[in-house]
Amino acid sequence: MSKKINIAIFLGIIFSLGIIFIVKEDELLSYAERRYLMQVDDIKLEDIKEGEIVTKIEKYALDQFPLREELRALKAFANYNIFMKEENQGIAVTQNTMYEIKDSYDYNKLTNSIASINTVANSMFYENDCYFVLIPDKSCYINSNNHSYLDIEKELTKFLHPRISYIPIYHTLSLDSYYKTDLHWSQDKLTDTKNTILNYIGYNESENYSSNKIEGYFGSYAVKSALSYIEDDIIYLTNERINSAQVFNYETNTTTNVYDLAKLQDEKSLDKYDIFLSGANPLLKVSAPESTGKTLILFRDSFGSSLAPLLLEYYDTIYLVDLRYIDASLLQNFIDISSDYDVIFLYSTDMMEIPGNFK
Amino acid sequence: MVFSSITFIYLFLPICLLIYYVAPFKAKNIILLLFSLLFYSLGEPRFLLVILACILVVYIGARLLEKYDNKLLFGSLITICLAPLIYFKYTNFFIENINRWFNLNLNLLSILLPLGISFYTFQMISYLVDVRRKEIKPEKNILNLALYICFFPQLVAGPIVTYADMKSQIEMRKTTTEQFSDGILHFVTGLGKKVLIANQLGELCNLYNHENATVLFTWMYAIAFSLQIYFDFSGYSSMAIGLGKMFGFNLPQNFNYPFMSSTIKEFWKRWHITLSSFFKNYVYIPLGGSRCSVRRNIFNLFIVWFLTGFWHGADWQFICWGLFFFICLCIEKFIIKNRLPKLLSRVGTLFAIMFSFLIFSSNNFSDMLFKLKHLILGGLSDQNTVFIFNNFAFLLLISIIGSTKLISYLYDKHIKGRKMSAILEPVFIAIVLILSTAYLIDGAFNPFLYFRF
Repeated sequence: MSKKINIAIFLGIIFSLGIIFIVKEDELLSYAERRYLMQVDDIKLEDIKEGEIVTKIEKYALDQFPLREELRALKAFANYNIFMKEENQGIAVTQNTMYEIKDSYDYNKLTNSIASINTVANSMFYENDCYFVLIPDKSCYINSNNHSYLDIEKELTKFLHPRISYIPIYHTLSLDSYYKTDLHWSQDKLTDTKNTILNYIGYNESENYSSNKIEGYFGSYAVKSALSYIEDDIIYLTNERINSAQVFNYETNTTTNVYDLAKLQDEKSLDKYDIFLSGANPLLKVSAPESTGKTLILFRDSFGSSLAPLLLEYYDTIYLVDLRYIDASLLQNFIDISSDYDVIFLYSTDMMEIPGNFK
Repeated sequence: MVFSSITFIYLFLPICLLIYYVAPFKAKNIILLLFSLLFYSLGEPRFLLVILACILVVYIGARLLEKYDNKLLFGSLITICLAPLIYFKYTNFFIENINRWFNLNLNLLSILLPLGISFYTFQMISYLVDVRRKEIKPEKNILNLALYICFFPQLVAGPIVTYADMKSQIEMRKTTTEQFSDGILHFVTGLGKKVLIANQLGELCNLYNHENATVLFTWMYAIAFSLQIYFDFSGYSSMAIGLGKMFGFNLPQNFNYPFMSSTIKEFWKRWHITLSSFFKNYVYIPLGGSRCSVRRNIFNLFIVWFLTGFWHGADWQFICWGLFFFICLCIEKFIIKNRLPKLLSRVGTLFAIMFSFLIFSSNNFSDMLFKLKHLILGGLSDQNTVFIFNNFAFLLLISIIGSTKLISYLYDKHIKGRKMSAILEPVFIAIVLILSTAYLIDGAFNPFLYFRF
């Protein structure tokens, strides 16, 4: 009898999950992972000839398997609780916050990125005041990891061209400045950082903001590790100047507000962090109605999206350039660059370590 | 396709089982053969012709051998069997070495290794040799021979079986409930070994590199890699045996707790048992085995271990790996002669096995020297090493325990055949199957180490 139970359990699982997998409709998106899932239509007849059919079917099965999210959560549970591991998918949890395991910085990739910044600054902005701000990755505020960050910061600034001023912000941030479940910083914790940058440039005042909360944010680390017991709120700061500012998107030729709250309802938007300047875009122009006579060209990654609104205190126009999506040499087609414009290169170490992120 | 994939577990296997068990007995072999060819062709359809051609050659060749037994014909047939293996697996190795030695610049060929070629080539050779030795009669039914050569459970990574073992099972077999259930237990245990243990140990090994190597990390890597390759390969063998049982076949065990060995000789009686048997029966004994002069015996051992290393991979570190065992076995046989205390011998064997896998895991000579050097020299530990140790300590502990007989002993003594097994076995099957599925779904990391053979 017991042998029959073994057989029934095994066959029951493989047949039932197999049948559900075949008959169930394909999911289009994984909101948890913020990506489109592979569809059955992506498997073509010619894949058989090319010997790719099994790889494609397996990829499709991994994307469309029934109870996928529950199974991912089970694996996370097993990793932390059965195998007593400190990480799942490279994401560890400490002090109720998640961070990506990083054993060392990729010195070569970082210096290559600095070289790209030097090239852009020297070829296009040789008459402008240029600044470089390096955003520390969250893990450097955990345990004693900060030593290696401070070392790499020191080394990298040596490679920076002398006419680019380095604005250090490490001491304006702490572990608390970042979302618990994401790599990004939280806008409401950036007041010191914003003041440090603007003070360095020559602006010494500081405005007041009101806080607005969006509850239930699971950042990329939560998604990657499939852990859902830690949750964040997105807090975005507003004042009259930010509320009245407009954002022009050169790619879509559309104008939106600084905080694109429509993204919360947009099915195609996979990350609530996209409310900041509508997420990743090649070229944006943020214009505040009251003129200060100051313009900024901000070369940035996604961290810049949440900092830029606060810089409207000093600048009436901010161009946000994401070199992942636009070649720097094309900027002249869109912006009438003046020597009065300030230029800030604001990049996180994570982004600078990805090759090919500077076009 | 590998057994530890969603496609296999939830699509291929259920469909194959369903059709196999619905079909009448006479059609069962055909169905298994068709599914085996489908299994093979799904991975690399262009190599289907290679295996079909091999089957045809071996079928005709064996029948000719029965009629015209001569050395030339036999030699030609063995050469024809080995030719695809040599071409697909070793051509680039030879070109690289010719370029190196003669300072030439011959272009490397763009060649992919057909699935399971190292395994089915050996099965074909064993079949031809056994026919010539008149230990078996040549198979008249080509479909039976084809099923023997490309039976999908053992096509990719063994166990290597002789036709004598398979013939009666191919012709007549009956699957009992006991056997099917046993097959499920084997399959699920193997799946757990592969997905839950070996793949995770692989993550640890993948973290090791020349930049972050410390003495402690190198030791951790050496232990983890030895365990990874054991759980990976023995897990896959266990899945193969389990699948065989589900279709009524009893395939031989391939592993028997090799890390419990007291000598290297014993290790090779417990590790990849069917490969050791092949080399013993078809190379070592025909060469004269040990019933000859010491010098000749050493030569015979050298040939066997050179070939064992070379079979595992077309690179010098694999040859070194094989010759390392040759040296160990010679030392054991001609110098130590069982005079070491058992504990010392056991510890020494474990170290030798670990060193051997350090050689096996190396990408090239300099990598090998780097790893060997860092077992002793360099920084003792650092923050990264401590984190990795903390992260993988429990997994390493489970793996070490799992590589001993302890769990099997406890199961046999306290669970097997008792009422408790009626509860624990299905729970074990459900948990390991679901958990392995979860790891497959979430893990991009699912390599199969023995695929390169």
